[in-house]
Amino acid sequence: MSEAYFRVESGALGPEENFLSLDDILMSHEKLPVRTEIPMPRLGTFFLDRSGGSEADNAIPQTFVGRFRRIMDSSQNAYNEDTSALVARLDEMERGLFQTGQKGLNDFQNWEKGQASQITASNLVQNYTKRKFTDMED
Amino acid sequence: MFCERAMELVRELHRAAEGRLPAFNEDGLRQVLEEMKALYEQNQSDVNEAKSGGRSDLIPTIKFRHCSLLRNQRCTVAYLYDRLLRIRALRWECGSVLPSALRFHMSAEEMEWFNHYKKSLATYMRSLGGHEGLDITQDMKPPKNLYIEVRCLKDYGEFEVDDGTSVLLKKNSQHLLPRWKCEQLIRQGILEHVLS
Repeated sequence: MSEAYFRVESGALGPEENFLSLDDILMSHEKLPVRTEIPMPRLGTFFLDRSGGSEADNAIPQTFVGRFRRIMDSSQNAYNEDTSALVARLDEMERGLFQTGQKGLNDFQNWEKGQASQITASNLVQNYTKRKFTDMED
Repeated sequence: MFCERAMELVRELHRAAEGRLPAFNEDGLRQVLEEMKALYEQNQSDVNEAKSGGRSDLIPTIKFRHCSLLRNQRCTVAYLYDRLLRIRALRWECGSVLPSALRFHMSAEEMEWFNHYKKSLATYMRSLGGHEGLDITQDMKPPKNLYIEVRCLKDYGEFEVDDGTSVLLKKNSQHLLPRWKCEQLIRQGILEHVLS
């Protein structure tokens, strides 16, 4: 993970979205079933299918809380293990949360071992060095 | 549906694991701009018709196309901006010379931006610490010692130390070297910081 990359955070917890946040753009791309109240001529085939109004789902916050708790728990207790089973059923955002939890855990463990002051190779550079060899083999 | 191409650009970047810079999607960007041009021209024509031809029923369509234009604009700007954030991170992670693989992933304008950023950073660093300047890309972790033990991970060759003498960095050799000299090489994966 690049330590110097600070992406634009989601504005989801604040009053409004962040214009430049990739997360917010993806979040606002979710489809909602709608009904065309006024006709919009000249838009071709886009509005051939119609559906009724959407229904609110009260179970959404509850589901989120449950999943979040599980992610937090598993990410904080899986140290140096194969986590593929744990993340298999998570979506992108949840995987991000899991990774954040793991990073916190790993950083803490490093600090406990006195490795907080150890200089390490840059992940970014390591990834590019690996890829170079793969390109040469083609 | 409109904006699909623009969403693909955003998804492509979102998918790239934190900080990784995918190749500049020139084709994708061009297609988004083409869609925006088409939407804009259709709206121009429909606006004229709505005004002079009394076709006020076209207004919802015009508004819809306008929303799509704004969405395309948002996606494009977010795409370009996020890439710049990743490119900026490269200066701090890889140093001022980028691996050639990375350079091919950047557009000419992005390369120019990177060079400007490098210069700004260098000017700023020179202004610190009186006349000496201060390299703030060093000591990213709090240093405990002036000298550190390092093991060489790859053959690198002769490496000059302060007093003019040089050491031979051969794979697996270990050395006690001044911290500030080694930091770059450790970040590049050539040396490994050994803790006693």
